Amino acid sequence: MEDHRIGDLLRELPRERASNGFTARVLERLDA
Amino acid sequence: MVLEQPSDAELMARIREGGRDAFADLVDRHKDAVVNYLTRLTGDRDRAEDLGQETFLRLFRSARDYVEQGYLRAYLFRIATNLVRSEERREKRLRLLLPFLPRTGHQPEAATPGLLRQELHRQVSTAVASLPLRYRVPLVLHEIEGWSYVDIAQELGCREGTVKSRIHRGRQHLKAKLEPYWKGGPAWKTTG
Repeated sequence: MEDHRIGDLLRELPRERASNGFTARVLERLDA
Repeated sequence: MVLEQPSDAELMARIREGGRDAFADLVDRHKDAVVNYLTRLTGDRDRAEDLGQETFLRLFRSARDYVEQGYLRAYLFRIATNLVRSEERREKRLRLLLPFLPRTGHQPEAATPGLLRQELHRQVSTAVASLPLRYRVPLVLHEIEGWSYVDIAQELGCREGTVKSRIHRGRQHLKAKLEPYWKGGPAWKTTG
């Protein structure tokens, strides 16, 4: 497997997004 | 009329004064990047979510000590990396103390023919998360986050050559881990 193929595989990984309510949960933990 | 968004530096200045609204705005702005970075480091979406929240909490609590350098995301990634490092050290110590403790973590599920791409992503993600952290961090920053060697060297406090070397070693590790799926695996070359 070539080096560039490894890079391609990594970049093909989907971008993850924070879940709905992430910010609200951070603020809740801030108050806890 | 388009309202201009406050910069990260402006938001941090307000957070230093205890501004919760500014903090919420900052979390909203960077949460996806932080969760994505942590998912790639840990290979575990739920853990990334939890560590991501902790990352922002630490930012808030250390806001008074924060020195503006013009790139807050790098600072957030540094906090996130340190959290992963601490957690992995803790897990390692626990494994040493309790050798028969079953290892926790994601258990692979059987791939179905219609999910080859997702399965490949899972294999790659798992392989990345299993790399030593010293290779994993620069590899993820360079290949996934698109950072330059120079920026990574600055962030990690090492030389550019060291960064290149670690990324190269990381790729070699990944090759070794993914080679079986590449060579003999079931239709891994099929994409679609």
